[in-house]
Amino acid sequence: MATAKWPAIDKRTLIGKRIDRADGPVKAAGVARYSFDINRPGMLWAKLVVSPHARAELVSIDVSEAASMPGVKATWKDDSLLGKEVQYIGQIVAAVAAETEEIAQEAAGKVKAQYKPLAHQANDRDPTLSKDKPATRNTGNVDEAFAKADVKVEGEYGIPVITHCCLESHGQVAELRNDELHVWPSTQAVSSYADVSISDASGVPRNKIRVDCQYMGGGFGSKFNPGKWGVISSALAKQAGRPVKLMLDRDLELMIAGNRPSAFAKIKVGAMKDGTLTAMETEVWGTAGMGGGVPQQIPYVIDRIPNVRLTAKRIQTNRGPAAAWRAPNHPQSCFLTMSALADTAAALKMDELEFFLKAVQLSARAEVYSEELRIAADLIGYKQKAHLRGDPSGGSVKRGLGMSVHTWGGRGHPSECDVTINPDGSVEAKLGSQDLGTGNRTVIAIVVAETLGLPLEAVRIEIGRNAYPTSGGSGGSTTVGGVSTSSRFAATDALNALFAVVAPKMGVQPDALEANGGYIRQIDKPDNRISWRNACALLGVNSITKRGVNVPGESEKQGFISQGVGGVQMADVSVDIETGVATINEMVAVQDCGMIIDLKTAESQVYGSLIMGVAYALYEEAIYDLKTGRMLNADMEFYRLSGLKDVGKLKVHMMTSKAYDDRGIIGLGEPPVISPGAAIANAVANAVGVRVPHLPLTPDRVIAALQKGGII
Amino acid sequence: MNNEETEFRIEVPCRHLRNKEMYYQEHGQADDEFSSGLFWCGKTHESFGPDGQPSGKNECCRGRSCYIS
Amino acid sequence: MKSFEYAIPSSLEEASSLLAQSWGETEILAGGTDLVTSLKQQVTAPKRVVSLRNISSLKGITVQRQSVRIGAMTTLADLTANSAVKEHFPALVKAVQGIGSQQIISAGTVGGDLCQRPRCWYYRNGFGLFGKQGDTSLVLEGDNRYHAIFGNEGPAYFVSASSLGPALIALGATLKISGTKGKTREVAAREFFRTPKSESERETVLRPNEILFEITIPIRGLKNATYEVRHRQGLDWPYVTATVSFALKGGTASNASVVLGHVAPVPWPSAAASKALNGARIDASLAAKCGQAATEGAKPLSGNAYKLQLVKTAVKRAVLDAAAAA
Repeated sequence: MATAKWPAIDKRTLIGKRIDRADGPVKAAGVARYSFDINRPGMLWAKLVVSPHARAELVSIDVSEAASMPGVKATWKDDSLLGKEVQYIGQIVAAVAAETEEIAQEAAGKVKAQYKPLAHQANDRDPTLSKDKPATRNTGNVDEAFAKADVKVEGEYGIPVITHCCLESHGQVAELRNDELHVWPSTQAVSSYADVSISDASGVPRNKIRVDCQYMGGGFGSKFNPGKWGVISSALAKQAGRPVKLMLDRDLELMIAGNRPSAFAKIKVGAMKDGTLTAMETEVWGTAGMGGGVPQQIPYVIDRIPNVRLTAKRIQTNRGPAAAWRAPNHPQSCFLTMSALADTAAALKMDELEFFLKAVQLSARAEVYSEELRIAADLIGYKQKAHLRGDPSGGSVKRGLGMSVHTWGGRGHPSECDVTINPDGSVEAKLGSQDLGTGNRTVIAIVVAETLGLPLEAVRIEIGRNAYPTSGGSGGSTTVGGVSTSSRFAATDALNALFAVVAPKMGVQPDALEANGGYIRQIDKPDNRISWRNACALLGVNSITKRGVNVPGESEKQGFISQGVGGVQMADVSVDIETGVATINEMVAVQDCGMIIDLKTAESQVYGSLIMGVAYALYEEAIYDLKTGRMLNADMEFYRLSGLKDVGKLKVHMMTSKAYDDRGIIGLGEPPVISPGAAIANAVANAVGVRVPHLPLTPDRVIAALQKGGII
Repeated sequence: MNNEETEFRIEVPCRHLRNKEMYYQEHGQADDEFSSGLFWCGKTHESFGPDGQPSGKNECCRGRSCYIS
Repeated sequence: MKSFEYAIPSSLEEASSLLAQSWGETEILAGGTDLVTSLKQQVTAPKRVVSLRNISSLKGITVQRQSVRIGAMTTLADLTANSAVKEHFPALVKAVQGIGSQQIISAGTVGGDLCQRPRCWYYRNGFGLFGKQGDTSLVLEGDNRYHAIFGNEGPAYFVSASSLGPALIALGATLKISGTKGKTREVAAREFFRTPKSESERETVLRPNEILFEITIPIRGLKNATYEVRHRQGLDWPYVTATVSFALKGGTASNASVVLGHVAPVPWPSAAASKALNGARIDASLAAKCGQAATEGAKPLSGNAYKLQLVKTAVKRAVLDAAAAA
């Protein structure tokens, strides 16, 4: 009888190997249809009407002129906002649907919304603008510790609001057909997407809403809910009696579809000459738009510094709303903490690696970080390249190394999966999960194929529909743990049901059997075997379907999944001190994530994180005009992302030894994107000899820091 | 505000209150070091409710004009 | 974008006759890399778009003994593929390469590059060419990190977006312009650009119904080079550029021209930097001196003083690159 327990490392045929992603070819060939690519017969295009004011009272909305335009088939306006305030530029007030995108755009321009502008607040740099009672935390005796410290190092640091900039924007196609609402959204949460707001807008109850998302172009935490655009397109589809496509244009995608909160901080660190950290005091502030909070995990990872004081002040701004951004709050807390710590090492004139090896002793995973720091140092050639702060060599290009450590949870989410074995030998797994481009399909296929002793191609994976068994949304790095466990359980149960049919024919008990290499065979007498195809033929006309259910707490107790990882990253940068241009020579990421299902897609997650991390370290910033409250760079011209030539050489090392593997599966989507900003900023400081306090590290900021430090 | 109301505030958030963690955790609104701290209103799809005030686990509770149990 | 009439004439004369007498009513379409964006952003909403695509005489490069003639509709890719251009005008080739996007280089045209509108984010966000809200200059009060440090007396604070402009000025190019009824006129590249004083003006001397149709660059055996300070290596705008050209005899420069890009509403010839080169022996210290001279007269706004350092460096490096070229 097959047991669900993960197979021993030496018994695995697929799990843990480097396997190409299942949907690579269809994506590379352009055959994969994303939500944006869905076109339905008779489909209309919708465009939004948004507030041009950062804050105003909405007096009236008149859609009559737009509605009378030839080609316009439906209009929508938000009457619930009348007499109330719009709170940011880009807030949706109305929409139109028309025969073509161009007509819709022109019609949207004819909707007349009247506003009474009100004073707005768009500044997130000034802590005195916070109106809340600050959140505080206090441990130990900070004042006494500073009085006794050999050095006190003070700095001010900042990391701005950035957006998710999903390459596929937010939105959906909606179609009412035979009393059912069919939606094709770009979403991270297929099973729970059909929220009550969509039902209300379309008049269709949730049991008749069909969600389908086969391929989607990135969410990064911003695509869980249907959004107002999802609600509006459903309403327009109902009104017009025709399918409607509503995907955000790039400017709105950047302005209103979510962003990562900013965080600025004054940090004071107390330390002894030998690098022992004794105290940390932080005042942190930032904005998440009108809601949200401020990242507060400071000190980050090195959180056992005995004396800590923190004051956090949220600043409300009339700007587009924040949304969870890959590892919410961690990249900010990490950047602020690691910058202050590297500055402390510099003040002590201490080698940074030696300093961090000591600092991580004040963390929950001292051994993991110590091991990872040593591996990262070897991979980047630390011994050969390292110098104290300030590259002593001549010339205008300075080189430096920097490092950072991070953590994340990543316990698998609740997930249900049906695995079916058919009489013809074919196999399918169904679950209401989604592949954000991470390799989820591939991972499920690997687990099911491994369990059934079949090649990957023998298994069909059906995901992306809410008609399938409920599976969690892809957030918090929970997907791989959730779907691997539920599909393992389902496949194991289905296999055992097949064993029960086959065993009598083979003259053995079911528990004497195993599936291996396309055969079902007797464990202690492998020659007594039957091919998979013939075994399945014994089912006659009936398939076997079994459901696997992952209950996270239970699965964690039984060792299928776990949580809590540590990662280390190091950056090797060059900075031209005459131009302020910082470039990446190399990034090294060392990461643990427990047991790995597909080493290749796991590594790809880390590569992707490094690329995303280089972008927010060097280029990315949502720039707001304070006077108007408008995001000035809501385009991909001045909202800069890194290109392939900008990212340098990337090295990824996954921790795969038995001790890590024994922990079971832990999610990986978020952790590796936490450290790049900190590691790169520390490398730049190490190169040029002064701290460039604010991300992104653009030439203007680098030059300002160099001039302030008297370097140029 | 009496104690009974205070208890309601904690235990019965508005049915339209949403946060990311609801989509993948067993108990939707858990709050830990890995949570985003970001809430939105499922009615307005904004970070604020129909009354224009911010959404949040301490804000979207009984007594607020737009609260629905 | 708003609906418009699309015209695709086959002669210059016909094209001119399709253009209106005032700005904004009609727009010329060359490669479209700027105009299509402008239409989508609705910073322009013409009644008619006149494409130059079918006017075959506007395409191609003619190499003569003493000059190179370039049709305005020649793509940037064809420009940089031309062996005479590569041999004589490395500054121009570098300026094109600096655009960083193969798509734009393939579709964009030489004439279109010279006539493209500013990228000022206030302008592109609908606050008009000068980025104003009422009487307030949003540029002066707001984020002007990418704006002008020279020629910024106002109301224009944007920087000329042209990649080729500085190089063509430094190389002494002449531009031919056709008007109505087959009339043509010639202007020096350095006279082509101008700083508009009102919203009803544009950034060149072109009249609304005129068409830039040819660019002539003299072959004068000048050393020349362009240096760009840019951050990303792919598609990106430079922070500052410098093109220099000079004759070099026995290590001594003459006939020098230094033109800066992305520092002013027009490509910005620096008389002080040119003067520093003329009659001087080119070495590292002279190059640095020239860079320093190029900053003379700059008046940074609240957020772009860093550009002074970039000007110094770009000019210095362009001088050394030019001198080092074969």
